[in-house]
Amino acid sequence: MNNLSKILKHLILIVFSFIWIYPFVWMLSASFKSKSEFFESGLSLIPNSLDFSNFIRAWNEANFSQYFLNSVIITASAILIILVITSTCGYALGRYSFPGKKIFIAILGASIFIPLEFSMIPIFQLIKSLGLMDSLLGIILAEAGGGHVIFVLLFASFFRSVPKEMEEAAIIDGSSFIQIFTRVMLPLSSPIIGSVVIMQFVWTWNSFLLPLVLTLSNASLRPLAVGLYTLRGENIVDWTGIAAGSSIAIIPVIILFVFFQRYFIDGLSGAVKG
Amino acid sequence: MSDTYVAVNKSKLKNKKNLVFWCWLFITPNLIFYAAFQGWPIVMNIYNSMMDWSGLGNATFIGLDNFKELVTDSYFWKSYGNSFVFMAGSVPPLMIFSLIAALIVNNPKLKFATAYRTIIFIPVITTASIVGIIMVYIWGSDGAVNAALSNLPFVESTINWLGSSKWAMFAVIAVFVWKNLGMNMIYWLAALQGVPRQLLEAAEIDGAGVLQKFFYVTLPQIIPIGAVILLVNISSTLRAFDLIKTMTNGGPSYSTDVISTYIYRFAFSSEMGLPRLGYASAAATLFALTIAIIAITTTLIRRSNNTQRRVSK
Amino acid sequence: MRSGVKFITFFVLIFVLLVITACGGDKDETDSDGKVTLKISDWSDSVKDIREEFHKKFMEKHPNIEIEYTQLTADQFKNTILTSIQSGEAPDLFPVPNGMELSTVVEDGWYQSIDPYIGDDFKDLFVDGALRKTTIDGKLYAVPEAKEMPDGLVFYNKELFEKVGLDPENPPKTYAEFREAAKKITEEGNGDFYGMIEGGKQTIRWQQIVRNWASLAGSGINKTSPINMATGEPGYDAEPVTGVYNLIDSLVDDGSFHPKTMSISAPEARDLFAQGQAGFLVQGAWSIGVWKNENPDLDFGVMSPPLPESGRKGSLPIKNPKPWLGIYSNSEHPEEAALYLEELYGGDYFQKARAKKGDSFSVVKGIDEEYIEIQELLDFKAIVDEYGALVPDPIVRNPDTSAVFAEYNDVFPNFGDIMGSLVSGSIEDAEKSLEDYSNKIDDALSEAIKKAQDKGNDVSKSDFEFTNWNLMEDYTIEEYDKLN
Repeated sequence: MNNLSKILKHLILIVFSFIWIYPFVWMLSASFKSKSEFFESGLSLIPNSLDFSNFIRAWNEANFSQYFLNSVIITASAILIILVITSTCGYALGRYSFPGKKIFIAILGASIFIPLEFSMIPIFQLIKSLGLMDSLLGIILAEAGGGHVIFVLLFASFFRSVPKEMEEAAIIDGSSFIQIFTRVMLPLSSPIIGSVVIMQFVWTWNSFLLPLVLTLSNASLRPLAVGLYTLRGENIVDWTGIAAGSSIAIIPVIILFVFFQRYFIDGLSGAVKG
Repeated sequence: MSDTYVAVNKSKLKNKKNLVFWCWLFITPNLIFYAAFQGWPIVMNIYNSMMDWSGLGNATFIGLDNFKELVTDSYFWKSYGNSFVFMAGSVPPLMIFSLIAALIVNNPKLKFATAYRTIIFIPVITTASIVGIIMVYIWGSDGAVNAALSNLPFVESTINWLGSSKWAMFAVIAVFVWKNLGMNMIYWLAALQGVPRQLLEAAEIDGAGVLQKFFYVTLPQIIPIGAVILLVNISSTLRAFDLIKTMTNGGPSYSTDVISTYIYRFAFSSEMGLPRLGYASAAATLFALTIAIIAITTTLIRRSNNTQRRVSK
Repeated sequence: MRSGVKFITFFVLIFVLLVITACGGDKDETDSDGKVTLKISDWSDSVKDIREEFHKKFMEKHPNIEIEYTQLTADQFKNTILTSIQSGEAPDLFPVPNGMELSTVVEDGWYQSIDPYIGDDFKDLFVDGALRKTTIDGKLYAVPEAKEMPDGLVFYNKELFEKVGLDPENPPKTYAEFREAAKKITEEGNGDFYGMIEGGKQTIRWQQIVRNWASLAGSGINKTSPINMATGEPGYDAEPVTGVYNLIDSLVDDGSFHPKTMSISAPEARDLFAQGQAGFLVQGAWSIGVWKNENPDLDFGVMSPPLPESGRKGSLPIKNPKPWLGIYSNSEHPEEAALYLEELYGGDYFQKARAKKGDSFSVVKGIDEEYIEIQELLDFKAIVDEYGALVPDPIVRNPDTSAVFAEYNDVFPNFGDIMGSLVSGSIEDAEKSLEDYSNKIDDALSEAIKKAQDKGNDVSKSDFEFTNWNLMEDYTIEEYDKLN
């Protein structure tokens, strides 16, 4: 009986999962389809033949071998910077009250509603005046830039909810402010760190317009997302190439996601026990 | 709540000035990145909103003329309203369904939880332009959605979802929820890790059912982060652009035109004449300003209500 | 417990890696073995393959030049170029973005004159009038990409015609016949194929239909001016235009539009047409090359837009070729950029390959006559020769009018949006909307003229009215002289 209900539960979950990722599976199968098949076969998932030419074309057109490393460097560095600045900021905001805190939060909060996606000129000029135009560092800083209100607030509300016992021992030991943060609090926040890494990875990995503008005059620094866009023209779109390219580009994201999932399962609940 | 910790910390770290110093030191890096890459563009945006500026040549100061033109443009208000419709339609299902999904896959006893988590997350990383194409098939008049619907007894005729100005918004919202639910699930999962396991175990020993455990133990613990998630969703839906641009481009007939597609049109899509970056900046500024006003007023009203209640007690 | 710290360490390692690579990247930039990198950006995707082949040949011939070619979409290009010009970082060669006039951007310091870097024979390569809009005060600032062709011609699927009993060699000529044919195809298709398909998500697709079809019916409206240049009135609510809306409306009533029409853009529409899902499609000449390449089995024909029952009262608008690539004013390699242009037009490969591909009509003398082989492209040309006529251009008449275009604020929703609304069924009747639009256009133009005058330009509304324009004939350079 119990087993039956378990099987039933998984059956429902599996059917639901399939519907859920149908478009993704469709994209995967489209990367094997020929151009005419892409439109002819509509919603069908099974390609007529296993045609790898799309992958080869996407690989070459999008400059995968060259741009992949750029993407890794830009994404990893941007994530690192963001983790450091948002966790510290979230810690101070969530755990302490100090003069200027409320104004700071108000300024951060007020800015999240302004649609700024298209006003890149100031950012561009800033990077230029820093002398970082033709370097990866410029792209990294631009990608890491911003208030990261979401992440700061996630960290802040997490740190606020950590019971005080957690740090009391450390305080009695005479740990400094920064020691409490790095040794006690930061390790506790691994679920938040995990979600920040995943979110930011998805954003930076797929970020297109900003790196495009910054690398318009230096193609060798482009990340993958910009490379992939060469498959999409004004009047002609290489759909199967895009599908193939996207399928390859997604692999690192999935690996990272599977890897970082474990940070969701040994958070505070485990720590309190230990 | 945090004030009590501050009291502890104060006595132990002794030096209050020292604490303030550390706090500011901790928020300064983020402040710098904010000021340089967001604050500065915002200031420029506000400055540009008072300019007649095409992106080239010199800008002319025209005061509030852009704003005057905006408030009289019925299409601005239409896109403004659509932004809120989009927000109101997307946020509740996003919040609720993603929480349910998170609860299901957070169950340590569930086998293959990793696989389910990954599957729920996959739409987040599926390329938007491909999503745009496949959705034309799925939501097309002969597509999967209509095929499923036509099996239902009360459905009489099929709908051309994306081609009809009545239904396009619904379809776009549905796809947006589908695409972003995985992100929200991650946030909720992070929040759920903050629920002490002993509390749940204690509740279980007391004979609490699944629902009771959720409403009396889990929910109060995750509400603070839930508030953050809500804020995140409100802001991301009010600024949604990519998906709407690829799926409907604001159409048909402006039925899915939101603020960001409106801005984009004036900034980069004019067919005759130069881009109107000043006007586009004004639209962004006015939009953000009105939301800030709404946010402040609701906070104030809530606060005064609370005080009244306290007084009446 | 320490997992957080652990993966922070992991990222620190990556960061170190980054610094090392970033420095390496910097060195690449200063690496000088005498090689010049020429940066080029545009959105000419229909000839991407032969363009890249051309680059390969070019670099073989000129081993000291490295070409870095970036292709974007038109919108993105506009966004990107505005940002990079602001900071002095634009590519060496790039085209004038849509909606902008060459003189406006030259005044803004985008381009430098090409004259000092080219040989005397360069300008002689081009056909008559090809450089009319690319020259300012006698100096060449840009080159045209190709001849301007009307983009409202209709492609039809011959196989479907046969299947439903229509004569593939005798496509419909009038509105009524067109409606009838579309209806017949739709009925016979029974859900498998439809009368007509368009990339209806894109406003510009509807604009092209309206502009070209109405122009043939005598509207006097085309892309060179916001208003009817024969009358000086906006003219969007006049009979030639409303007639087109009524025709489209009747197609909607018949259910003749492919149901995906409003949810796709041009590339998808072209593909679905190639799959035999629709009888008619309106798109540019370069579609021919794409189909020949990707759908060699597709049996299609090209026909002139249908005419109203009252007959032809105008022509398909033919404009002077518009400016395309120019040399960036801050370019460090103007000589190499000019060399690129000389090879692109005067060289042995690109223009010929483009004509052979069936993409467009060349601005270089003798190319079209000798190298266009594809029958459909020749048919296209024959139709344009029969129905097309050169339209007047306010900027040719009075260069100061470019200031008006610089001040002109485009009106939304435009007439293409109105047609989209009609097709999606959100409005029943376009007449009221077109009347509003006409009024707004009038206001926008008057305002732009006023602003241009305030800035000291000698312009007036009469610059946009060509009283001696015969809509059936070419508006030649002599006609301009007669006006003044």
